[in-house]
Amino acid sequence: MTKTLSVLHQLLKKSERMVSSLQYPRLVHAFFKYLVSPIAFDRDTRFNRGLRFGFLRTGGGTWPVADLKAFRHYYEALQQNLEALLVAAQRDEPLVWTEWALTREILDGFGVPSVSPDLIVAMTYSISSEAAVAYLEKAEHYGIATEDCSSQKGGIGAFLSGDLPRPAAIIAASHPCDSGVSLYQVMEYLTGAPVWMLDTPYYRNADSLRYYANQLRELIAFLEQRLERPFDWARFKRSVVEFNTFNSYLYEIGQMGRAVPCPYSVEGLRAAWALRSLATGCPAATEFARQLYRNAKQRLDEGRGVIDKERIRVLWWDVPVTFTEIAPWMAREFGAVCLTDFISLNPHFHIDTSSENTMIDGLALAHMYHGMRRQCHGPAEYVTDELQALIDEFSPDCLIFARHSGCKHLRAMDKIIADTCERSGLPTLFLSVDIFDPRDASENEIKESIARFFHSNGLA
Amino acid sequence: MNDLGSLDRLAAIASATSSEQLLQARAAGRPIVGYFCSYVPEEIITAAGAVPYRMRGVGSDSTALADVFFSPKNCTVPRHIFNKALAGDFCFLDGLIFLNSCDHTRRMYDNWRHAGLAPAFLHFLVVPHVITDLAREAYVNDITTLAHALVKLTGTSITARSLRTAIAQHNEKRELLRRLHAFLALPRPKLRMSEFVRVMLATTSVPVEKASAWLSSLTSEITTRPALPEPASRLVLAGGCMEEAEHVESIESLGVHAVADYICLGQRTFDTDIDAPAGATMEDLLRAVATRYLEHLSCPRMANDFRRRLQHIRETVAATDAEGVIAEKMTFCLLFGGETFLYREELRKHDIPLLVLEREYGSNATGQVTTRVQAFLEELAERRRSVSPRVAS
Repeated sequence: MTKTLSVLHQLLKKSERMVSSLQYPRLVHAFFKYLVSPIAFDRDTRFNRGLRFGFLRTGGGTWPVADLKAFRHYYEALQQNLEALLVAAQRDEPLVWTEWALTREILDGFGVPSVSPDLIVAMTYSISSEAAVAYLEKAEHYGIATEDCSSQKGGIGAFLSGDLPRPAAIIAASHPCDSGVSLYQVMEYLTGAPVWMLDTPYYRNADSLRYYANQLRELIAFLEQRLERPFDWARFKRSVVEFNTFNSYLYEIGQMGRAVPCPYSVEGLRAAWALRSLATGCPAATEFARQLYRNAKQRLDEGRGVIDKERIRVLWWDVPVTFTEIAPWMAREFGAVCLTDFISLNPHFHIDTSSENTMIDGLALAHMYHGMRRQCHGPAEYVTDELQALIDEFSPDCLIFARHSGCKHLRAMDKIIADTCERSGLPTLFLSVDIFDPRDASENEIKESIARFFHSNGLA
Repeated sequence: MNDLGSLDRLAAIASATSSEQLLQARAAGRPIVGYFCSYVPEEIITAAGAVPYRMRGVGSDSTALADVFFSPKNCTVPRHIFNKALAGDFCFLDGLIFLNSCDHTRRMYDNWRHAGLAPAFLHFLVVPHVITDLAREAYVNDITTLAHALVKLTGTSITARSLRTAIAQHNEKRELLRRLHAFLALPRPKLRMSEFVRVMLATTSVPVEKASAWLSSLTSEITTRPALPEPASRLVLAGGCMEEAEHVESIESLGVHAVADYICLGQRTFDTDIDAPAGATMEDLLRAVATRYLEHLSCPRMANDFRRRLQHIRETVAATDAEGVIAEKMTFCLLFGGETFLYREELRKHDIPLLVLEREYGSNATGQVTTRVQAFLEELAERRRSVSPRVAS
């Protein structure tokens, strides 16, 4: 296969454009709101496809200017990650694939770039929805089962298409789900690169955390051998310090979801989650989080919401849809704000940097509580306890349970989630979507379901 | 047609949810503890004075009750088993051990609790997804926790002696199963895979000593059994939860003889024994149990062992003079989705014909299965005439 990496190059160019243009956030805001919105807000067409996703991802003209300004640093962090990746690929230097619910601190300790095959489909939608679906089709035609999660499936399709560079090593984890366990074995087979599978414990007790932390120590030894370079503890520490700051901002923002009206936009938190996988130790990522926090805090202090007239408060209980952004449409059409989802709420962690051991132990805890892994790796209570806490504390008006088709363990919780919501009297919409694949349920179908739900429950 | 009385008896037991022997054991004071998978150490259950019972969906023809809890995109195996549970079919259980075998099955633990189903003793055993020294130590800890929990249930202490005895009993059963399994692969086989599946179902629903007695008797009888008619094709049968003997029969009726299996209810359960030397301490024995169960012929949930699985399939084909492999995947099984992909890629490289069948639990003898198997057999016949590599799916 020809090593084109064309999508990564396009993503880099897009990041560079966004970094440049978001130096003038008011101009971009006006451009989005008055010129792009009329032609791109409602529908995905051949003519607007290259622009639309990025437009919606940055609020679709519904955001305050200050949040757009923050996003410049998101694209900066992305740009740096992609540059490092493409340079390594071009020079045949080592690079690593990581599963999307893992973070970069250890890789920063090796100074090795990384990419997440699980994220590549979601990222490709920002360039072309056709290209993203093409990856899924490529993988399926090659023999990957259609019911596997489209995240890993898309990564395999991207590699088979020559758009992901071959890694020196792959790091994966046994949770969130079976799809990762299964398809990372396939990735090892296809790429020839060894997979280090972190066996995510089922529970979060002291023994479990110790087990996971020891695996991280063995991972470092594995990477030293594989990458043929020593682990730089000082570099690792700098990354962890950066993570501590980055995460503290995100934690604070998430807690503001209790406020009515909600002062933050969930898209920023979702983007930050992706940066955890791609650019944890990057100062640009931290600046992104800092500005999001500053903006939300200002609105909180002033009693303002992130949207003008908040009428519906929504809990999105699952991973968000990645092939489009539903939140701007919900905001514009219904005054609905999405408070949080699986990946947007960050628990409070401060990793103790006083020794190598404390850093590894703290990182293990951070991994276990990382969004999506935290809910998906254990018993149903890990899903419902958090949900109940959000219902009790965040004053939602309704819940949307996306029921991503690749998440078989969540699909097996239909009644458990329904009963949790019924006890709370919370109207709940059960969707059935593939969050990476519009062929399953299209953007319009999802919107129609949500609209009907809002209307039939007297929310709109 | 079976010409062995004991095979008929075992077939009758295999078609029922429980057995007379199981209920007699319970009446005699031995609690019945259900389990789901070859990664649950039966020896611990036996050593605690209980009888291990492998859960099954046998007899289930509906998932209507279970589908209130699960979704249509969940595997039909746990849905059928859970449906039976909701219908009260497992009321003889005194305990139940769940595990994180797959995403569908692990949620059965949660749904079982949510439904408030008996028994009161519900234990979740965490099994690692990798085979490493660290994982082994974690598994030892979890098995030890299981042992303590079972002791509380049964009131019977587990000592080094009782555990060594249980290990010996289960080792004996595994050895007898291996001997029986060998009849499948003879140049002129004397046992059908459908019969073997029934034997497995029957011997996992009775106390281990009864199972071994039956297996011993059966082995003697089959030794003197006339060889079966020569099949059209010798194949290896691979997959996950394949317990429907009728389904295997339907494939056999097309002229297939399965010379070996690589299924959950088959070789994975009895490929290796536990090494329990005399004088071993309790700690040593628990480690030996963990080692055996962690390192037995793995299923695709074990993320760092696929090369050994692929090697095993290749070697089994060669050793049994099989022409190819039929691999089955349950619909919505993510683990076998990746695994059958690996089979395709690897077996193609080694010029081993492969048919991948996807089905739902209980879907026996469907036209689709029959057609595909027939087409595969025609390919094999063509291949015999002119050697050329094929993979069918």
